[in-house]
This record gives sequence, structure tokens and C-alpha cells, in this order.
Amino acid sequence: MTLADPQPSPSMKTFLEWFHQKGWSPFPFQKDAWAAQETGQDGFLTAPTGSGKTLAMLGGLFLSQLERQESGLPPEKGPQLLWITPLRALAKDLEASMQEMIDELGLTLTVGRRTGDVSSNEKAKQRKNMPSILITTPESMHILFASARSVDGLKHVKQVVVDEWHEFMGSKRGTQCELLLSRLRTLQPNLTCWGVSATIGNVEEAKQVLFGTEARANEAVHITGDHPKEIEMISIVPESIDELPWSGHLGLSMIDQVLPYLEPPGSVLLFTNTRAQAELWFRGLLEAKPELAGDIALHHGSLTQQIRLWVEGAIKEGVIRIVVCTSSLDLGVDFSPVDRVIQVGSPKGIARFMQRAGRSGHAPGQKSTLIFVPTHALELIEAGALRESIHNPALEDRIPPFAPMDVLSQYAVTRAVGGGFQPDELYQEILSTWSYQSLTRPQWDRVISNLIHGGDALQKYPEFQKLVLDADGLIKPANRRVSTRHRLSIGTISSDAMLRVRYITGGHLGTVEEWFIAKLEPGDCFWFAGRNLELVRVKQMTVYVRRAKGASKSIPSWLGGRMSLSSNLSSGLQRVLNDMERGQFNTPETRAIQPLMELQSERSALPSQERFLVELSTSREGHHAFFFPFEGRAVHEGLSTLIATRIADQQPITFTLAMNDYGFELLTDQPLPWTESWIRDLFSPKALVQDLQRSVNTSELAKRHFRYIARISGMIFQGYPGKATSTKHLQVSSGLLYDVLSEYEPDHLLLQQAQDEVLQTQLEEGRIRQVLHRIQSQPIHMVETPRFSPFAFPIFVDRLRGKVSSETLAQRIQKMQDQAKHDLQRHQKAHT
Amino acid sequence: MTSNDIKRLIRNQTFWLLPEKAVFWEDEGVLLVADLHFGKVGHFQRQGIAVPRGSQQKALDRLDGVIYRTEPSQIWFLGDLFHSQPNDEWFEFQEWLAKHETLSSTLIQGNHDIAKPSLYTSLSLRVQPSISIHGLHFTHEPKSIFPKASTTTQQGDSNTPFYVCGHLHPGVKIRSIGRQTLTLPCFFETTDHLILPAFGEFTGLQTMKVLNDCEAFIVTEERVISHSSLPPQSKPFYR
Repeated sequence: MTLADPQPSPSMKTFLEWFHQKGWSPFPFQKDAWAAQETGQDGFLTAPTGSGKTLAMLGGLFLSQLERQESGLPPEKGPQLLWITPLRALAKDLEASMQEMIDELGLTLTVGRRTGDVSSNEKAKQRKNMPSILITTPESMHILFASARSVDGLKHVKQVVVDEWHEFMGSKRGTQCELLLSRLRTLQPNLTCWGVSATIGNVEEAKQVLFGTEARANEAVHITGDHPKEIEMISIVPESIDELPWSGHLGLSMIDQVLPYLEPPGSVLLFTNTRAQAELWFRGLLEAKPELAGDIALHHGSLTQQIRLWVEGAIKEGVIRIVVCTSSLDLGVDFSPVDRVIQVGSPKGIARFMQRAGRSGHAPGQKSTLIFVPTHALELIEAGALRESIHNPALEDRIPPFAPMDVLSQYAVTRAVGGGFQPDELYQEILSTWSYQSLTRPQWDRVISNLIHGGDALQKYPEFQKLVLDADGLIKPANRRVSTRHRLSIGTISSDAMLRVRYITGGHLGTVEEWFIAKLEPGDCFWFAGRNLELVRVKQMTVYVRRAKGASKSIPSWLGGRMSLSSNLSSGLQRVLNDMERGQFNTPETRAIQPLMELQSERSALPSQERFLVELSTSREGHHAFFFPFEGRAVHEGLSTLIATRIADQQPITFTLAMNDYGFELLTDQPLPWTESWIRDLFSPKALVQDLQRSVNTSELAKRHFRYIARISGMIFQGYPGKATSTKHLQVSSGLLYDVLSEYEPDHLLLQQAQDEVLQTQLEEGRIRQVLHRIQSQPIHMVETPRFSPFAFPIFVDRLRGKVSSETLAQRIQKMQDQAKHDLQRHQKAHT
Repeated sequence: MTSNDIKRLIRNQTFWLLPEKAVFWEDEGVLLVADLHFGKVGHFQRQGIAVPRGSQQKALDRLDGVIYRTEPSQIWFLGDLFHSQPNDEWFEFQEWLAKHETLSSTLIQGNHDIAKPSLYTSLSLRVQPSISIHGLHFTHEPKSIFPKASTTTQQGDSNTPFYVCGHLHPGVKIRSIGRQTLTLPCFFETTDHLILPAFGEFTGLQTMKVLNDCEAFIVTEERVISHSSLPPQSKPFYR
């Protein structure tokens, strides 16, 4: 029976009646999803947030339950549906809205959450009696797998829904999802699987990764609930371009010009790119217009869930009108649309731009309004590119990690701890995932061997104790300590040690990173959670504070990679530059920036497709060379490391590297013989793979990246909550581990992974190759610039720097001493 | 001793700071080393953290080299000789000690040295909480707290006690033009302290501030270099 049937079943009648009572009528995509679920098909739904996708996914279960109840059958035992969500914060919201639906429909279903913030008491209850709908995160599922008793109940699960799949897919949490799906499919071969995703560039690939195989992905129904919406973009452009700084990313100088857009009526979301920026804007807006107090709130990922939920509820109910937020509000189940969205700084990607714009004017036919606030002058070029993408958006791909060994190693321990595994069986199960589809048996054996012996079979570590092979051929933990420690460290989101912030009188505010608090002394004031706070004391991972009256200078920031310009947006950017080169200033944004482009031409030249621009300058800091490929920070990091490594091969030299989304800088303490032909050689695509490999090793890229891998694979244990002392003798920095491994076991599995991941995901070899080919076809335009050009200046002032060196330590120190002598002589001469 | 080593006169005693991260006390023929953290790798392995062996052997080889070069009559370990409870690497060290039976060895107990005292005696290792001689105190932990305290203690006349110790794993950050920075291990000297760098390979660094009354002696692969011989711009500015 299909839903188009003129004679709907009694259960469908009840269901539709409930819909009509609520004043709704089902969307076509909801009906399609229910029909597919009724026939037990796998499916994939692309729909924007807040469009009724929750109901689309629950219809199948609700309808069959209504049917059971009508036939007088008792409710089914155990969990029927697993709902995997990326954010713990979303789980609570989801639970409430599902409970409401269940109550209104009079269903005998139960719903529960199992996430990091559910009490262990509640979890113990769940173990005995699992709810029919279990909302959880991939990490919590893996913790469940790590406990032998819990797994039994999971074989009742009929359907699993992976919500916001696009959020998972580009990260190792996606790999965790793949593994947990492979486990559930083994426990319940008839399991149906549904993925819900926003529209992304590589939807077909997203399906394959979720379903594991192409065949299974092709069998799954693909339902689209997306309806393209008209977007209106307004850029706030100052009257004179001189009012905008040449560099920076905070944009606080624009506050006065943003104020008119915050006037009533209407609700506003003001998106910033970082949490620290959100705090600064919140404070800045209140200082500029104190009357906003009461109307405005702050929302970001380091605030407690309680605060965030309050804010989400308050804007929904109209208690407040304005929320200053970060990507923390990119997701969210029932977040109702607002009237205007303000974006401070470039969103760095077309998909993110469209998604944020879509947060306003959700109703069909209504258009979305996004107000763009540039934080520095050159960002207007990006705004111009975004405007041109509105009508033909090239949405970005999400690139799934391929066969990450750290996640696999963590998962093997999880399964050993959760009752043990038989290596052949688990190998087959793992092969059914997309990520590990081509994992070879020797690779798998090596992972196992590393966990049993420490090193490879030939390099056994005599004292190593982690997993053991027992008499029944099962792999199990060596002792209870292994199990306890592993359960505590499951997860792939790695962050630095976090301290909770709470009032001395009680009440949590959120979390800050340890290094920020380490800089402060009791009595110092800092601004956090939109409040001025005084540090009272730090005790047991908690920062006790009280409200402060004085001025606070510091604002915590949270480490986390800066977003790099997406390749799709960088292509758009290059098109805009070419237009400007031809004198076409087509958008309000590019017209505003015209004077600055003229200054750029005067001091140097426009960095367009017509030429590959290289600027050379000398300052007190040394000798600067600037290059402008316009490919985004990530690619520039790879390119700059590559070029520096190639020069360092030819002579002992040390480089300091800086980069932004437009170009990169090589800074040296000695002049270099730049010529056009030398530059062309340095940017040759020949021997790229070998040279990149070497540059990963000479620079600190792999070492920095190893930090994350060491945590996921359990080499760094962050300690038991509130029990720091018992692990004191196990503390080690990932840098030290990296050095020891590189020296004594250079072909270690995880070192190789660090290098591979840097090469594939950070340096994006493919994109670097394309850029090098493009540069080979361009004339090289070398200019000596006595004063930094508008494009060079922001790179020059950037303080985040990398290093490439081919000098020995002694050589470098000798140079410093020679310089000291030289300085001294000059000083003496000046005084005689 | 060579020009790669640095000579310090402290309380009229001659101390050589060696690039091997050891100190040779010439007057008494004592070789001083701190924070070897032997057995750390084994300790990690027992806890299921796969760190490869090799760093201890490398440290022992370096120790052999410096003993050959300085010909001391005694060796004093200024604490944290062992990282934790005894394990396989302990025997490696036992064999090493047996090779050097003519050398009198003393362990000044550090916070990591938690094995039963009988185990140390079985290695014919003398264990003492500290040693005081010629107004000098040889301890594991420094007397004052570094580096947060500004270490501007009263002038070091011969009556104030002077501490030779380890524990901190001192390092120092240096800069040069072209915005280059390096963090290197060092001997850290104040008016009343000489803090040795960690001798062990599998140990980290704590970056110290080199304030007015302090001097850092930086250890590179082959030489010891005084921090004050570097150009002013190579020293970070402290608030």
C-alpha cells in the first residue's frame, strides 16, 4: 500500500488527523520517507535544518506502533530506533520534541538519551531497560560497545538514523559512525539505515560512505526536501575604504554601522567566526548601545548547555531578539528562522554562507536576508565572490578520512574491552565499511600486533601490556586498568585540557582552555560568557569566579584551526580578481575596494590570472618574499613549506613562514638570489610527491598533527576526572612522543599516519599540483616593494608562523653570536 | 676540559658545565647528573602505551662518554634516576653500574624515586635525601619556586646556602632575526641555585625566564653557550 492510496490505513488516518489538528499538512518528502520506511528500505534525506525532517524519520516507527496498538499487541521490547546526532546539546531538544509527539499520538513508546551528560545512574537504568528510541552520539555508542553487558540489547534495533551526516562525514567522527553501523548490521542483519544531510557538493559520495558499499547506496531511496530559496545579500561598506583596516579578523570598528540593522522589529542572528570574536562583539555592542541589554544574548560552544538552551528557547519565544553566535547555531533542530542574519567576517565557504543565510526567512516563498560585515578591506573581494555565487552556488565537498589507523586502533581496543573479539570476524566486519574497504590483512594484523606487543611482531616490547590473545582465540584486555582507562578516553574530538568556569556561589558558565587561565592570577579580571569576571581560585579543574566591576583586559580564546578558504570560494575569488584586472567592478563590494586595488597596482601589481605576483621587501625583521596564489590558507601552508624545503636543499638556511587565504611569505635572515627562472624552477610540479614528503618531515607539520593522533590512539592519556595524581607518571607531551618514535621506530604506524594525513588533508597534494601547473603557465611578475603592498601587509602582521630549516643548531646559534659581536662593534663605533 | 665546556666558580669550587648535560665538580672529582628518568619507557609500556625502547641506552652511552672524558671518582645522581617502580630497564642500568664498579655512586632521592630502599642498596647505590658540603647543598628540588618567582634573592655572599639541583628540566627560548625561535635545554644559574638540565632522553623541557640575576647556559649538540653572549633581540621580553 502506498500513501497515495485513496484508502489510507487506520493507523495512517490517526497519524494524519494528528497532523491536521496541529494545523500542518505533511510535506511530500515526509510522505515519501514514511512509504520507504514502511517497506524497510534504506534511505538518504537531504533537507535543511528545521524543515520537519525529524517527523519524516520517525513516521515509519510511529505508524507501525499505531498499527500494533490498534491490533492490541503489546509494545515491542528493547530499543527500536537509534538516533545518532553530532551534538549532545541537540539531543536534549530532540528528546523533548519526540516525547511531545509520542504523548500527543498516545503511543506506548519511550524515548531516552545516552550522551556524555546523562548521569551514570540513568545510564545504568537504561542498560536494564532501554527506551524504544535512543538518542545518542557516536562516542556514546562506542562506549556502549566497550561494555559487554550493554551490547545484547542492541540486537533489537530495527532502524538507525544518522542525523546531520554532513557534519560527521568530513571528520573521524564519521569514521566512528561507519564502524558503529558495521557493528549494528552484524548484530541485526535486517537493520535499515537512514542518513539525513544538508546539501553538499558530494552527496553521492556521502551516501556511499554511510551505506558502506556502492551497491547498498544505490538501493537506498534518495529523498530531497530541499527547496532553493532566494537570498538577498547586503554588504556594509564604509563610505571610504580607508575606514576599514588592511588586516585583522575581529571587525570591531564596524560596530556602529551594524547597530541600525539591530533595530526592532525583527529577530537577528549575528554570526562570528570564533568564540573569542563572539565575546568581543557581544561586549562591544552593549558598550555601543547599552539599551540592547535584555534584548541580546550570547551563544557559543564553550558556554554550558543550560545557557545555550535558554538562549535558543528565548529567541524562539521572542524573549530576546538578538543572538551573537558562532557555528554553534549552524546546527539545531527546531531553531526557528529569524528575520535577519548578520555575518561578521568571511564565512570562508559557499555552503556555510548559504546555510547561514538560510537561517532567516524559513517560510516557503520568503527570501533570506544576509548582511555581510567585512572585518578587513580585502574581505570585500570575498564578499563579491559570494554574491556572484548566489545564483549558481558551487557547494563544497566534505572529504571523508580514508582508513585512519588511529580510529581503527581505538576501535579494536573498544571491542576487546567490550567482551573480546575474534580477529578474523572483526576483520570481515570492518571491511564492510567504506573507509576500511581496502584494508589489507597484513595492515590489520599490524594494528593487532601493535596492540598486543607494542611494536610490530619483530619488535616486541617486553613490558608492554594492553591486549592479549586468550585460549579461546579471543582478543581481550590484558588487565582491568586497560579497560577502565580506555572507556574514559574514547572519542575523536580532541581538545586541550578544559577547565569549568563556575561562580563561587554556584552555577556553571562554561569552559575555558587551561593555557588561558594559566596566564591569570587570582584577582585578575576576564570577560567570559558575556560577563565581567574576577578569578577567585582554580581548584580541581574548576575556575571559581565572581562578578567583577573593574575593567577586564583579557578575553579567552580557544585554540582551533582557523578556517581556510574553500577551493570553490577561492575559484570565485580569482574570477573577481580577473574582472577587476579588466577594469570590471561589477558588485557593490568590488566598487568599494577599487581605490585600494589602485594602490596595489601603484606599489606592485594586481595579483590576477594574468601574472603570478611575487613581492620582495626588506625590513628590520629580515628579507621577505611574498607570493600570491589565492588558494586558501591550507594550500599555502603546503606550498610555502614545499618552496622553503626546496631552497633549503640548496643551502643551509632557516625560513619562517606565514600565510593567509590570499598568499604566503618566506622570511629569512639572509637575502636570496630571486630571479624569474629560479622561481619557475622552485614552483615546478616535478618530483612533487617526494619533495612534499620531505617537507612534511623537515617542517613541524607532522609533529603538530601527531598530537591529535596520539590522543585518539590512546598514547596520551588525559587522566581520570578529578584524579589527576594517579596518572602523574604517565604524563608526556605528544611532541616528545613524536621525537622518540621518529628516532627509535621511524616506520611506526601512527607516524606514517600523521605524515599521510598531513599530505592528504592538510597539504592537499592534488590542489598543490594544480596550482603549480597553473603557475607554470603564467608569466612571473617580480616586484621589489619598498613599502608593503595592501595584499602583503596582512601576511606580514600575521603572528602564526611555521618553520623550515636546513641549518644545524650550532650553525644557527653561531650566527646569532656573530650577530651579537657585530652589534657590539657597531655600538662601540657609534660611541667613539 | 675544552672550550666547548663552561667553567663556573661557585663558593670557590670549580664546576664545569658540559654539553653532555652533566656537571663536573673538579675539586672533588664528582660527576653530577640529574633527572635521568630511567625506566620511563618501560613504565609507559606496562600501562599499554607503546613507546619504543632505545632512549635509555642512548643516555647511558652519553654517560659513558662523559665519564671517559672527565674520569670522575664519584657520580652523584641528583634525583629522578628512575621514573617509577623498577622494571626491565632497571636491569639495564644495573649492568651499566656493574661495568663501572670503581665509581662510587650516590642517588640524591627525587620525587620519582619511589622504589624500596633495599632495591637501591642491592645496586650498591648510596641513597641520601641531600648532601651538604662547603656551603653547597646538593638536592633534587630547588629551594625556591621557579620560574614564577622573580628569583631576585639577596646577593649571594658566601654565607647564604647555594643549591645544586635538578627537577625542573630547565630550557630557554631564544630568538633571532627572521622571527626564528628555538627552545633548548640549559643549565640555569641564579644567585643561589645551579639547576641542571634533565639528562634523560625521554624527558621534556620547562621554559625558564632569564631575569636580571639569572644566567642560562644553553646546551647545543657540541657546546655550552652562555645566554648573555647572544644578541639582545634573541632574548624574549618579559613583562
